[in-house]
Amino acid sequence: MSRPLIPEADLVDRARRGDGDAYDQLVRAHQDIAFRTAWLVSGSSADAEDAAQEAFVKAWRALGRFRQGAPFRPWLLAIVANEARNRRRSAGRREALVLRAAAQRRPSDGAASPPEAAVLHAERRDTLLAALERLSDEDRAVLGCRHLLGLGEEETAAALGLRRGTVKSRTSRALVRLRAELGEEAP
Amino acid sequence: MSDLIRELELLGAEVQWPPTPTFAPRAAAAAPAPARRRRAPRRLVLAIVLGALLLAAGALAATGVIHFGGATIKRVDTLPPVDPAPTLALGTPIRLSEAHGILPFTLPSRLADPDAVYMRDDSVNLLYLREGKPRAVLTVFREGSGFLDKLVHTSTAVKRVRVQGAPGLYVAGVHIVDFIYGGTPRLSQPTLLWTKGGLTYRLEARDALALASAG
Repeated sequence: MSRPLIPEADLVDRARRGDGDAYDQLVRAHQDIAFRTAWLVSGSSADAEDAAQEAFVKAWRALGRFRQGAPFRPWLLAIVANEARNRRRSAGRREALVLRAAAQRRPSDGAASPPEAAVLHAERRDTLLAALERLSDEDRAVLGCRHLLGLGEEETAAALGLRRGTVKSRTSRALVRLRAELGEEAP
Repeated sequence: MSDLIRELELLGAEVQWPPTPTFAPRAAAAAPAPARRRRAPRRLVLAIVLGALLLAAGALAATGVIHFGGATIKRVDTLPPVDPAPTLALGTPIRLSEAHGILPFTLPSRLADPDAVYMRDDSVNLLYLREGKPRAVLTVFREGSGFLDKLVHTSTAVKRVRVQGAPGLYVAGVHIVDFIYGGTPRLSQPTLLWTKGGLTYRLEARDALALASAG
């Protein structure tokens, strides 16, 4: 994810005063995380794209109400996630998480086997991914935001429309259920 | 940090996220979703109707031409090239008292004391400086003179506002002044237009709303 070279606070200040170029830079810096958050919440690439696009326009129009000095990303993610929630599809139509270049990480017939550790590593990832997919949307969203996307508690709270304390407790419970899906005991 | 959390974080780096699309952050919203088959709840319909009414009251259509006082604002998809180094050709310097004799304008309190006053083509230009540099330019001209054309991108917000009780329009973003006294189009700062007493006022400044609203 690229970060703006100009300090973000300056860009936000300029954007609040109507500088469209500054706002474009802000969006470019955060569009990956915004789109992925929308995808985690809505469960659909098409819905995530619509949600993020709509959210960026709404955020631009709402910049006058943005509290000066506040962090920009949680504010933006809250708008994005709200749009994504409005477009959330039924669980049956949700797109699944997949691993990048999965085919390359598995030995094909006739190909040299990768080291055993790497195979175990890949198998562990597949197992983990499958366990995540079996979780409820609520559990998967909170673990996805906190640990797949690396959002902080405050950002996750903003994105999921929860209180910070709820994010903490829900994350903890989701981890317990993920361990259960993996057939593991709590540490 | 537990091993499981660490594993999830590693997994996040290996997940094949859908490719991020290209966004137009300030463009009109994406096409609406296809209509759902089930009937919308009455409350939702009411909200949409109220929303549309509020929109009509505050924001102006995203396309077309807006006529306001002596100004015409045209929305375009592509803005033309502009003069990279425009000069403020404001006209002949005159005294403020002389300007009042040409046009019967009134000034908001924060604009009551211009640093310089000019006359050009039956319009009056008032220049306001900050640390020796132009901070704001207020142009006053008669309504219906067809004096000013502005080009704004379709994504630029143009809102109806009130300026000390008078009807106004606020063009929030940087846009293009296509024609004012002729010459090459130039980029304009956020601009506030309002009409009062048969005159059109055009205030170009980053803080135009605040300057015109006080007093």
